Amino acid sequence: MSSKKKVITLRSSDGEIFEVEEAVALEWLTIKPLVESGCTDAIPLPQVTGNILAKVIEYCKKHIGASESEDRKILYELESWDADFIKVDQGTLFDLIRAADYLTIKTLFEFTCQTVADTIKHKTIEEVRHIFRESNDFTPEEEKEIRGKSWWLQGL
Amino acid sequence: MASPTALSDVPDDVLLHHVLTLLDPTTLASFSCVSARFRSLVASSSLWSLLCAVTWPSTRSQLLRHVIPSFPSHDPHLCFFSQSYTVIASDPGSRPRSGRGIGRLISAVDLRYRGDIVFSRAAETETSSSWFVQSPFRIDLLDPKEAVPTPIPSLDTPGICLELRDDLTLSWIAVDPEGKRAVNLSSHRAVSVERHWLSGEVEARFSSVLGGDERGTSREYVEMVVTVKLGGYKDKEGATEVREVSVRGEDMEGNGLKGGESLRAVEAGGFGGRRIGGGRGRHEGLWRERKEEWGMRKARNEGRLDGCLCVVFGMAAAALGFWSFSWAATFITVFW
Repeated sequence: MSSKKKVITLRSSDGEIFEVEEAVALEWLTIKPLVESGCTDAIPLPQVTGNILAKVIEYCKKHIGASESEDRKILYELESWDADFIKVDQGTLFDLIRAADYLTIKTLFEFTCQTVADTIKHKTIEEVRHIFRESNDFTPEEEKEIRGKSWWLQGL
Repeated sequence: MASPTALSDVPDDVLLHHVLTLLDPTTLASFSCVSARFRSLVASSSLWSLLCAVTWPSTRSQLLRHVIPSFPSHDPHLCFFSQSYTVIASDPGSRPRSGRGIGRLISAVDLRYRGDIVFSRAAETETSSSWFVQSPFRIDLLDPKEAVPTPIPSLDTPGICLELRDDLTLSWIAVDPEGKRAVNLSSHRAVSVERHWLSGEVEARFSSVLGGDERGTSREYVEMVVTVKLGGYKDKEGATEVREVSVRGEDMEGNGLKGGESLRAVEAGGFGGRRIGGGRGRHEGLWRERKEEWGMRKARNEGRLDGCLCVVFGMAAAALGFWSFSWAATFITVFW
């Protein structure tokens, strides 16, 4: 760690300790006031596990400064890096959404939500059920009714 | 954690506000058929009010903020959304008849470039005055001196007009605030994008075809046109600004419509019209066909009229000739 940059210590729900640069932690609006107040103790994050926190830090480190860049090459590289980063299992993806929501990290939150939305697009009902492991809990009558009409067009 | 996190662990408000608002209505409809939880999410009224605001930022304006919640449905935003998202049938079946009339008309216009909003505004028009009914119909969404900067590339870029045909999309929602009705009267994509040879301005036209007042005349069908004028941004080299966004009505000969005529067309063909998913190709083809048909009919009628006139003149000339001859003959016999 360079001596010039201030380092913030974070503790995950399973007790793992992480160190991040202050600039990275300041992007997390939930802990921003704590960081600004000059807190030197490890900040506890009881809703985020160690492996997810590691991913979150990895994402934020990569994105700090790079997102605002106007250099097309950098943005293109960042895009392909993001695409690799998000190749995770579904559980991790939802955990990342919850962590980004909890820590209020706008870029990561928007990115993960967009990923879920993209997963839903252009899929059949059965495919969505399979992907999200949602069970069909409609009664046969309900199902018949739903399939019979494009209800949103008729104002429900 | 014992079991991996599932979608059901993601809070409803996150799904609602941040995931479902990114989806189009068709996807939402199929998403709502997945399970009872998804169905109740999609049926929530906060989703539709958000979707209205995201799809048409112009609906957030002060003018419409109080109008939409009063739409006649248990979910007014969904009602407004479904009326405004669909495009009216390109084949204008319904003709103006004496309806309930529209006292005020609110126009909500949203222009997008490659999916990003570049211009959004709502304007209200007083439509009951005789001045409006008799004057040429025109709604300006932008003041003459106003210009809105956009991220559209320089208009000097080669092939920009072709590109803009695909990249520009526009929505014009006409809202009758008293009758609680809304209709989208835009072709979505431009039906034409042309550069003015002298000023260098680029003009994009978005339109819809409606049934007009008089059958058998050039106003049997009318076209409601939204014109967007783009020009070079003065303060920055190579940037483009929106200079004009206006709505007009035209008949099949390209003559402007008056306020009253336009309003009747909007009321019958718009608010009362059949709704379908529209397409540029169909619309354009239809309007061209109608215009050509009208042109031919007119030419035929004029041809027939010309024929008649010829006969009449011919006969008149013959009669005159005969008359003068008989007079001449009389003079000759009398004075000889």
